[in-house]
Amino acid sequence: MTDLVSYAIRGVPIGCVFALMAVGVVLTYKTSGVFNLAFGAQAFVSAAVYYETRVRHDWPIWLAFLVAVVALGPAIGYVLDRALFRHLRTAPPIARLVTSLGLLVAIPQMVQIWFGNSPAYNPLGIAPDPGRIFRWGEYALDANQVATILVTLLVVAALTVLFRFSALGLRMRAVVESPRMSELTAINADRVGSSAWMMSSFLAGLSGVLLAPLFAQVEANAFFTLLVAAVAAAAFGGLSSIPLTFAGGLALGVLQQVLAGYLPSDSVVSQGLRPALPFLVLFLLLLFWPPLRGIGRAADPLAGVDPPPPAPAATVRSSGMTTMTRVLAVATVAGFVLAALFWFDAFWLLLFTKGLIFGVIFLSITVLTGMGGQVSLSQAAFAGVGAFATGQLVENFGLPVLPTMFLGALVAAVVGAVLAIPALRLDGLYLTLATLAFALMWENVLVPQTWVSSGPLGVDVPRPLVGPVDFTDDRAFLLLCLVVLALVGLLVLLVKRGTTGRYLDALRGSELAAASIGVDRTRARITTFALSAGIAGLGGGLLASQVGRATPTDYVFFLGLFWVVMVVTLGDRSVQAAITAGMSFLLVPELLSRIDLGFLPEILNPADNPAAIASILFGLGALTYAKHPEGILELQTRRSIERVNTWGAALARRRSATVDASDGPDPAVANGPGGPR
Amino acid sequence: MTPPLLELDHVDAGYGPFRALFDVSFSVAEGRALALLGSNGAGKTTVARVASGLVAPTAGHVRLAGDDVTGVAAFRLARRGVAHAPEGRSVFATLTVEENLVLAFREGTKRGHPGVDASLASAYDLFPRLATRRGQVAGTLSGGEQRMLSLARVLVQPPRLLIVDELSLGLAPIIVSEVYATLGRIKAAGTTLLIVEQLVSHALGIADDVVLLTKGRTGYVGPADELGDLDAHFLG
Repeated sequence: MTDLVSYAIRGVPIGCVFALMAVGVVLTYKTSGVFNLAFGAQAFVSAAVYYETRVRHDWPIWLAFLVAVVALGPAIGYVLDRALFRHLRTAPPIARLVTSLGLLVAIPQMVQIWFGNSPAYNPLGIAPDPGRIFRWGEYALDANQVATILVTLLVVAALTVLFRFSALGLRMRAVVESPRMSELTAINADRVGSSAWMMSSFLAGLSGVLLAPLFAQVEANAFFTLLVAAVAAAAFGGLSSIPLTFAGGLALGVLQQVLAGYLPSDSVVSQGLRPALPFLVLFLLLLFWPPLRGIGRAADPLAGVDPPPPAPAATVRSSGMTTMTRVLAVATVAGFVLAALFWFDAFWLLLFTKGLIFGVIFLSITVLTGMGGQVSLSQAAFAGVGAFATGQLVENFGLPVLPTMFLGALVAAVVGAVLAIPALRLDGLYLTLATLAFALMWENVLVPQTWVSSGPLGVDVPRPLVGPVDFTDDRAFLLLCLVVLALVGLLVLLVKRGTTGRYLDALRGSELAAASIGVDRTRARITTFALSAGIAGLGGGLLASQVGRATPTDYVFFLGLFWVVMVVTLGDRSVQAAITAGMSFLLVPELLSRIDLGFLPEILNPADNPAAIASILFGLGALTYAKHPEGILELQTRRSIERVNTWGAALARRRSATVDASDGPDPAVANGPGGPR
Repeated sequence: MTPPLLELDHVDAGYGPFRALFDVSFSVAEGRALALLGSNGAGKTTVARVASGLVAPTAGHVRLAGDDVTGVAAFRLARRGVAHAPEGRSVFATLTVEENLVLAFREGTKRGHPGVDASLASAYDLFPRLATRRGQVAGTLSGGEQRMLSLARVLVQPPRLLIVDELSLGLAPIIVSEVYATLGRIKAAGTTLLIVEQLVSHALGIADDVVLLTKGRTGYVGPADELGDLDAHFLG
């Protein structure tokens, strides 16, 4: 009994931390309609600033807290609202989600640039006397834990009061539902929106500073992993109730510690179950928790006042231009193949091959996000499933590599379909959260199992050997990747133009309307999900085969997140865009590393820090999604086609004008400078 | 001479690349009721939106009691007494009936405040059906009840200018008559009305003046009793 109580007490501060973040997420969602995946990143900003001032510069607690939380938190919120989210109030939910994803990718890297790469060990809390232990009976908590509990209780009480009793809370909810209608009710929607963001960002900062001492060092990933527990707690509160959210966070923290206390530490159950708990809880809540049913956002009755950006109109190309672009495309591919065969050295060969493989993987995002309109954060996990399945099948059953890759893709597709079946009850945001839970579960629970990854060194995935053709030769392998890419691209095009593609178009427009004309939503969804997972799995297998093995660190969650951001930024509606994104994924950091701006400090110099700078570029690039949902690449294509068209039209006009003039009997022209003399 | 309460002066307006209004001019004098009539897509709703500040005109001017309010935010106009009940089920679907009603009060949104209590009482007087559903989430009301609520919502604070858009849409005829009776009482109390309506008979029953709108341009502008045969205006 005493054991149980002491385990439970140990869980309380952790539960409070989960609850604090969860309450912040719920607050942001309730008051701005954005499910802020970047909440953890914002928390990291304040934690880093607090560390920098308090630990590295030895500021007093109150001053460091004032700067890092009270000033910086709301300031970030204000900037985010003014620069981004204010303009997204009437944007479709997917645009808001993608925007927060972009921030999630960009913010930690920007902070890192300022904060430096040196590890920040031993973060300090806000308790003035951290060594002090509070005891009653045989139970004890240290000062920082007590501070966390007190602050959390205070925040929960304050927010409950805000929503239950204050005019501001009511107005915030009204603005989320319809900013325009709120304005008609004499509410300054912009100001209410700003205060909502400032408040939730303050909370992000606060939780960041309170959380930091939980970890050995201040680093961005820790905050993100915590977010899953927070999301689970938020789901428990139905994304709406502050007290329930608090209860959920607390329960999760306590449950985790109690399980840790009671399960024998060396059992399979404990090794699997304990880390998996938040993901499992989140997954189960998403599927079965009644408060999340039918939350579907109320439609804004005045949405028509600010119409979304018009859908990209089909650009008309003249037949001449179509021929020209086709010739150009063939020439590019042919040139590429020739260059690959005769000119590239080993380094560039490797890079371009990887680019092609990522083109394959990114096509999975084209299918799911571009065609299906759903954001999945588990594409890296699907690629991992493909890679590990290929490796294990080859190793254990001695199957030939090339067909096994397709078998691996099949396994990934099945996993995707299995995930999609329960996820069918979910939509938009909830589906994304379910994929988030799956991706993190895959990474933290499944990958460490030996039957998946064969341990930290991973599993061998040799290059294929087909008859006389040995793909250990890098040039041959590049051609293989090119062929696979072409086949997958063709498949995506066929699906896009076929029935499933049309169904998806209809579903994207209106599920209700689509259902009323007999579109089978279930089948279309499962097909896309399985297809997408399969394509990612195939790409994963190829990638592993190129390197020779699949290791647990190859398909980490954050990578999958970055992929989505990249593809969405460049364009998720076309095959070309996915291929370009695949190439850019490798070439941009490579090119950046060649831009040596020696006058900049090392951390800002692309040559020294190419990966971080590429992350920031693509993260911030995703912020353009709301304005140009077709992607930067498509936008530029359309613009240049329009430009060529107007140019061609002007040329044609001028030509017809001269033709008219030369054969017209007008004496004024005949006697002009160009006429007979 | 006192300036008209609302004046649209050579207004053009639209949404993004789409232009909905072309050179629209008319005015409503204080205390009068003006009916804005026209077929589907004539631009009636856009006129209502321009008048309440939801849509900023791309050319021309909007004046409120002589002040130029072109491009002024909707919430500022609302604070100056312009109330707009948009077409359709314009209620906050996730808030309760009572929360919908108290939202507009600047002084506080709690019962117990004398002004709030009195206004709520009069709103429930007007629409007794809402009183029985005050704790219900507005999104779960029936269509007719939602229309009542959206009208009650703009009436809790007596406006100077009331803009109602397609009031009769989706309401049972008997409720339409009831609502128009209410509008008559509001007008008698001194509120200026801008009524956007397809159901001509009811609107003409209350209107002093009429503006006919065809394809975003004004046709007839003048007193209701000199309008003559309506069909002639649309067909002739």
